[in-house]
Amino acid sequence: MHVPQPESPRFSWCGESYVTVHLFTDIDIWSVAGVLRLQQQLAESDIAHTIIAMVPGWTTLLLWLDADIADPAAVEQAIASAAVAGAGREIEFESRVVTLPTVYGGERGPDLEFVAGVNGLSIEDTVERLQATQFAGMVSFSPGMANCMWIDSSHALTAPKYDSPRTTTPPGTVGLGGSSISLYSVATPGGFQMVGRLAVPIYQPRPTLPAFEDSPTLLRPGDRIVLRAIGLDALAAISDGVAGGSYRYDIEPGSCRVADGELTWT
Amino acid sequence: MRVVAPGLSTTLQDHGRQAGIGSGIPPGGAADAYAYHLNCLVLGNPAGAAVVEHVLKGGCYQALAPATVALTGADMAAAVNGTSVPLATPITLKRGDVLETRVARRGCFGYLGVAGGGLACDRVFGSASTYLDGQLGGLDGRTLAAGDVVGLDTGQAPPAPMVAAPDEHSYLCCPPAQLRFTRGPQHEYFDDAAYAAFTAEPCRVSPRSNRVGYRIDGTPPAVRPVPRTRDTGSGPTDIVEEGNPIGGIQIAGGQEIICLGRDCGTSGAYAKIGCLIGVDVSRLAQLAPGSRFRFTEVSPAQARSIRADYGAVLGEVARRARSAPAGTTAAAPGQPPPGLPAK
Repeated sequence: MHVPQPESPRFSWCGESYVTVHLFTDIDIWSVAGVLRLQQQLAESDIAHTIIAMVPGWTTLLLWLDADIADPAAVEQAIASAAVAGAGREIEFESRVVTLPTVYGGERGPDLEFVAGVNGLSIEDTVERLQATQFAGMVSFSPGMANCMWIDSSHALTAPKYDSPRTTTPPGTVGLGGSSISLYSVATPGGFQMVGRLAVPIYQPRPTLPAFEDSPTLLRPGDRIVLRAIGLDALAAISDGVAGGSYRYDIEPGSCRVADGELTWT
Repeated sequence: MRVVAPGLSTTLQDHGRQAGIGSGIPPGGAADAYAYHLNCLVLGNPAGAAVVEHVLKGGCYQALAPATVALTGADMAAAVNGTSVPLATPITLKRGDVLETRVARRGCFGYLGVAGGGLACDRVFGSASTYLDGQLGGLDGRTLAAGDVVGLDTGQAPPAPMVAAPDEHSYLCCPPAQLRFTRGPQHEYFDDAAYAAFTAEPCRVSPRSNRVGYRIDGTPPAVRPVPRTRDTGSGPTDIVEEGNPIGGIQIAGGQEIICLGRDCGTSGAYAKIGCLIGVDVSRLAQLAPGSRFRFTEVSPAQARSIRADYGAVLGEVARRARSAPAGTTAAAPGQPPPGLPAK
């Protein structure tokens, strides 16, 4: 079993206000857990008041500091001692289960057949694999955009990215590139294969649904995501609920505990 | 005030938002943070007051009630009812007065603030900053349009003393421009010879630049082949996706130099040869498309020291304002910001 080992961290100052901490080289749930652990430790450290915000990556943590008050030596010391303290420590992070109704194929997922072909699977089996639970490692790039990987890699699909990226991607698109799933929240250029589209928003800058009252984004790093297949009849009913403000998201509270080389989901 | 003509891509901005960066919402905020803070100081507004940000071309506004306004940043040949008015100085408008700003003749980003707490708008995570790609903040997340009526944000702090600063305080610009950066976070992709060439070659700001990113026309640095692991990607400057610092100097596809602006995506997967120091993110914003400059490397300690120097200038403006009797306008210090030629 792979045990998360925050190697002695390498870090770089970026200008006077940012520090990038490099923890791991390759992407997996363990690396994300290690990054989230460092984030937790720094949030509880004696430099916490000098941190404006932190951006967790798959293998890195970006610190945005208030350079007017941060003591650089204390920052470097806090990073080093947090990683050392973290090496043998358990971590528990929030991991909700968010089920998002998704229409696969057709005009909403024009690349589904291509993806099925590349993976040597039927359309039905491909959609089955796409519904296996995903882990949102990063919520980044554009507002609320979730970048996910399969928790059980035996279900993972792979696909090449577009040779020439699209100039725009419809909001809600479920994209596959490499073995990563991206949930597009706003219209942006993109190169992932479009296999489907969410029936519900994951970003609302002017909220009409209660789920967005506290934040315009729905998803958080660490969430588990199920992209549940629905048909066009169900889509119509869900769209009415979204438009009328009555739609309620299927979100179960949960967490992930990392200890002794094991992941425990609850 | 009523918008008669809005300019090119005119938005409401403030000092940016912090709470969204962990969920994909860039910090945003005035492209020239120095000119924004000076605007707040001139008018006695609190940090966070919403201002109008003009890009390259100003707009035309009619006062619907008496107001005191100030312009900082780019010189856009401002006039009230056809008579020129100075930069970085409180200007009194009567009801019906028309304030017009034109094409920038020096700098790119110009700021229009209103005394009494700034402009009323949508605040998201506490910030007024308009983020156009996310349709968030400001006026319904969009650019200003002719016919819009923008009011005062009366919920802000009570009025504070105002201060008049000389024109040359208006924004940070010191040709011949050098933009200073610190090395990293992917310095292993570039050897010392690549850094030497990168800092020796003159560059130009491309016209294909905006608040998201500033494209730089210049010779891209040679990329050193680095050992690849499973998830690094195959392109010459591909990296595992990571958080983006504002001012990061990204080498996209091994060949395109892009400086990340305040509305950039919160993460990216191209190697960054360096990151601009804070004040030079603002100075880059004020460099007109086609302007020549060179990149210059500094240490993180030098970056902190430069930041302190500029902070001291704004601190002195604030101190003068505070020491003036209420209701009067103090004179700003005669000493311009470091690096600015005296008039």
